[in-house]
Amino acid sequence: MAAKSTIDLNKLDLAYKIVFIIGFILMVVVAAVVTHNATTKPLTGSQVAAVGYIAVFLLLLAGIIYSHFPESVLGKPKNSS
Amino acid sequence: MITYTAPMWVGLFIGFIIGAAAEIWGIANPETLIRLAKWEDRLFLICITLGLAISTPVLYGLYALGIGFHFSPKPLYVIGVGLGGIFFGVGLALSGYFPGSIWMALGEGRRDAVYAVFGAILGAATWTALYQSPAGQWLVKTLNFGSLVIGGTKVSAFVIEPWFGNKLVLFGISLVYAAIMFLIAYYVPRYKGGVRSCLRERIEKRMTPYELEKHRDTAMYLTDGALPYSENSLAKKLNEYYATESNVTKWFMVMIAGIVGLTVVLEMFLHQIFGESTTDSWIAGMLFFPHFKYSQIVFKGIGWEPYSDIGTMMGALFSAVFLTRRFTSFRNIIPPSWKERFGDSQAARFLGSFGGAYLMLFGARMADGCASGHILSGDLQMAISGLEFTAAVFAAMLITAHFVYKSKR
Repeated sequence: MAAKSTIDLNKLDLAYKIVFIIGFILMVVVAAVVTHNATTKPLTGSQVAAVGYIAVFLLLLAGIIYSHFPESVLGKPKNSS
Repeated sequence: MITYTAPMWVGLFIGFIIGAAAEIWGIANPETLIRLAKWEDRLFLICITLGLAISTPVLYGLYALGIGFHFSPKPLYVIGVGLGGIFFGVGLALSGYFPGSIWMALGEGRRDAVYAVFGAILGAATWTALYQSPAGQWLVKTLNFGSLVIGGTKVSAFVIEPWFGNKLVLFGISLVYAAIMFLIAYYVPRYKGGVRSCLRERIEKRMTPYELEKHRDTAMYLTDGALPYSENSLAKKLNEYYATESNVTKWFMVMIAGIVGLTVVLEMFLHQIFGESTTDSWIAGMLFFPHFKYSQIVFKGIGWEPYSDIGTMMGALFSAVFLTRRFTSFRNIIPPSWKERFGDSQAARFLGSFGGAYLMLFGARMADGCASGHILSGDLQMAISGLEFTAAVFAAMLITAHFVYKSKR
């Protein structure tokens, strides 16, 4: 049962890492598109928000997924000792 | 002169590199800066001085060779910069955060960083309101000597005019400056009661049993409430680098400051200095005071800071999930020094984090820069305002921590 649970957590971990990489690439693409590759024109609220929404989504998703992992210290679950 | 200006979105990558490196360093954890304020762990001082020792001669060496940088030493208005540094130091000691490390801590999933974000925006809003008052104008105009570095004055976007001779003189000064920074990095012991800095530990390949114990204690609070990792993982090598056989991770931990410093040099070539607190003024202006004078200045002058701040958070999130496994999922983790003094009440920690961040950002905007704009980028340029701000921050931070975290015995 514990082994199955570990496998599930590993799958969740891997899934999040894939989502993160895709999300970060998307952020860069969105930033380049919404700013029209500008170099000096000051950023606007909507240009920052377009990228910021993806960042907040990735952060919240990480919070939800990793809250299922055991709380640890030095890599070992706190309640294992 | 060779110059270049990169597109705004590149700021995401610059922030990412700095956020990822600094998270590995441990700066995202407020306990690290509280221990600095208590003068118990001088990691930040040692690594910053080492980073300056490496990066400053690179900056001025390349400048002497004809490479143009987007120099931006902050103006030296003596009273505002000094007073701002004092507010900043008090706030830092209370919250355990500076503006950039708040974004990093969010990336590490730290709950008290959420409180700090709101405190920081409110602090920036307060300065926005004060700026156009007679008091605000007095602070930024009295004893204002302009943008000065040791040995030169910024005269245009890419040019620092040396006071004597040519650019080689600035390079020569940067070598002396670097030597002083290196001596601090080499001789200041990392831990209170210890004998060696991080650099000396690596060069001499030894540490005392007390230093080893302090390293273990540091690794424990850095990983408290974090994710599990296996014995052979990279996370183990990074978090417990002092006890592993890997020379790569041991040296990497020492050299992170160099990586951060050289990234700032690259950023200055590409677009601008590294700054983190302007974004808070930009957000405060957007939310509360769009028509205020200070907001208008920020809106017109904002560079890629909002993107580099988002990049900083993403870099720290990347490190905390992929490398160090220090992501804490917004659990109730209270910094040990805070818990020892004020208990584990979430409400008390809210006050410390929110209130400290408020004071810190108010000070940062008053001084026109923060740990990134003044201490990292400013000191890297040998900006006199940056050195004044650094001195004020350290003095206020040490005094505040001495009284606030004093044992109840």
